[in-house]
Amino acid sequence: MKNPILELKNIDLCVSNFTINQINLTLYPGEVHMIMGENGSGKSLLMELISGLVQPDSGEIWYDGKLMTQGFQTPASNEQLIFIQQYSILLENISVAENLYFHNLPYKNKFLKIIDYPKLNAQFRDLIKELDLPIKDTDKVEHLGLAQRQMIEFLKAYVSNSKVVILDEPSASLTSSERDLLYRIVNQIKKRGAGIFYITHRIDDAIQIGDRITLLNNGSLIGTKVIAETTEDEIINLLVGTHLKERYPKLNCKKGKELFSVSNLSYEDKLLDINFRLQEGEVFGITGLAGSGRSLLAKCLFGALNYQGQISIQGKPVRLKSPKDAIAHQIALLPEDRYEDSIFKYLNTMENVALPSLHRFSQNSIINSHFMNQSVLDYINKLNLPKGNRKNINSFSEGSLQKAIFAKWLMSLARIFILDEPTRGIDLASKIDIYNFINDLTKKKAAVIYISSDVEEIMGICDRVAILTDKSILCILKTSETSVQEITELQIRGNKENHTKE
Amino acid sequence: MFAIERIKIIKNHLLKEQKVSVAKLSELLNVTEVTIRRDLEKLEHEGFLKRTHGGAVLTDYVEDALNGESEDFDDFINYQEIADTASRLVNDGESIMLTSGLINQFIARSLGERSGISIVTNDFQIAQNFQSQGDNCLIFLGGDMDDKAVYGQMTLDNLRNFSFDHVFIEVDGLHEANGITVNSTKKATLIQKAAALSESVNIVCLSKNFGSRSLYRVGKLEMANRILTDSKLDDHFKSMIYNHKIPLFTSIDVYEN
Repeated sequence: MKNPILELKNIDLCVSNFTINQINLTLYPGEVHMIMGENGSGKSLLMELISGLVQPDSGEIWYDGKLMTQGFQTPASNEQLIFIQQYSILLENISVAENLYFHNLPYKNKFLKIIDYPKLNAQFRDLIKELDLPIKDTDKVEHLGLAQRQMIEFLKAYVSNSKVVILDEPSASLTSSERDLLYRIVNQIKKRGAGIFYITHRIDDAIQIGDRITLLNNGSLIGTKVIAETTEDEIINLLVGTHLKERYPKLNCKKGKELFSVSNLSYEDKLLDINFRLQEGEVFGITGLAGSGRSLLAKCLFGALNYQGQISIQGKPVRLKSPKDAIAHQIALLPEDRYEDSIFKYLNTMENVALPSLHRFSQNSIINSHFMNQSVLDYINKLNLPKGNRKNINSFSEGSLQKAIFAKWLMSLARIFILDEPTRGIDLASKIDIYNFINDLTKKKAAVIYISSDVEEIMGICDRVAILTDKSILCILKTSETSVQEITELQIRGNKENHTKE
Repeated sequence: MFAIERIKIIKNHLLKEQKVSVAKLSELLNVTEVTIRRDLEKLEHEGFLKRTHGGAVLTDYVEDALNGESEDFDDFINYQEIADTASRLVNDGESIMLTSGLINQFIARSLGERSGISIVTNDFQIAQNFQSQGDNCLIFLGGDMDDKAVYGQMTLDNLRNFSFDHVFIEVDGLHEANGITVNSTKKATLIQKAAALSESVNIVCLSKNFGSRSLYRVGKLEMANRILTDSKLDDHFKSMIYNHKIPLFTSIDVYEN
């Protein structure tokens, strides 16, 4: 038996409202170690821990028989580990080859730092030939697509001399041919003797290239298995077997007339043929793995993307050319990225909250600011937001911010609420508030589209759920007739044929 | 001004004065009489008031409740909100046990509008408040009368004949360490019995009673399948309940339709 290249011993960490408990993990040279777990189970945090971006509260990290006291962020150890994150961090102004060999550029003159470009480009061409890459050596970074940029990131891991490679959900947004290429790169990295931590949501990734698999839930290890000695079902059972007791406040409201319907909606090649209907008083869940197009769908339904297909409100076809149209049709969106997409950072609470409702306070084009103030204060009180109208909204906690955005749409009297990951990253109390807001909405005949990657939450909050896989809706199920297990399984396997129930 | 604020003001005014006139409200709130009439209609539908010529008066049961222990007007709005949530948790045709208490009177009231509901109670006022119209039915337990409700061995024996879909238990204290508490031992015994006979246990508690404890312990927090309270609950308790994995209904009224 070889010695592990990396070993974690009894690692504990507590950050704000999340804890990582007693993690023991090993990585051998030439091994692909898959890490799986639901969203929020602590995978990414664990990887940040390993890479030294975060220091553990207690426990030890051993690298190559040496105790790492300062993680991998010191100059001496920096090159031993490479962490490829989900988003690409390529520099746009320099060539692909320069990006790729950034840390070990060939120099003509090392002292004067004169780069040997012919050698650099030759190296890159060899690499392209070796791996049969769909990239030309003359390509500029700024012209590359998202998937190609990600490919370059993976190649960085290949050309580096790092003994530990971390890939954070590398396959999430790749097509199947791109995924094959990724597998080839991973196998090459493995061949040069590095150990790889590979985070994924896809069981097929694990089966195809993984050597061992570790499953995480809620910051603790469920177990580590050798993939060759286990079956797909066993892994799925381990993953979804950690089922919790019902904890979501859900009111069953009478459903009314059809309020909203979508038929044959497509967007570029990223969403295909989406169909569903929504009734008054209904909470309709949409779930899917990362990269399945959940947020794109939300944006289409809000008119923020130029979709094809038909959206109808109360049976009447409408064309949503922009969010302005959507707001006029009483559609509201709480986007996934709260700070970027839904507030004006330089306006105060009142201005942010009142914005879509200005017409309600205006008479002959003059805004009655007294009423506006009073109304916003009323919402601030009721929703228990930081007191005062003039607060800087940018300083709000995630939970308060989300509630403020909710208040904005409540005040504008929207009827169709699209909530994209509304409770991700917010404190528990705000979470419960949001669930109860939804109850109040459905009681009063509004409808909610609830997008979440947390299957348990979807089961607890929604009446029906659509499972989005590979750009289209795989199936729509009643939450009363399905289970967390079934939905997770459908997501991971991604097709209905393998699915035995029915 | 938004309807939601107007209604709150009307309610408060009515609770203080017991009767209001449309003209006065219209002047007070600076809106037309038509708007006020519409608001009053809505409140009449909720069972909060009765419209009269040119105004409105409180309904008897709200008035009765008012003559009781509490003086806090805001509470009555909260009671109504909680009762509304409670009635939505119940399906037509189910059997429900209501233990004694003020909020449960409101719950009984809103359940009266449903059909096929069977209510079992030991509280005299709840029995009075539940209008057994249509195919609803009311069963009043027997026993020793004490403060407008019955308790004792006879009541417990009586109770043994039933099984319920839901029990709504109004409690006086809810505390993380001390669990669920009430102010008399008779009550605690009855509640324990009723909870054991029911499919789902719903604990009803005003937000101000969270974190406080009464003398007699009913059981641990975990005995609750749901906890119902009003919208004023402190954030700290929300996370506490969530961590105990119990659904928490705050009956918050935020959306105008």
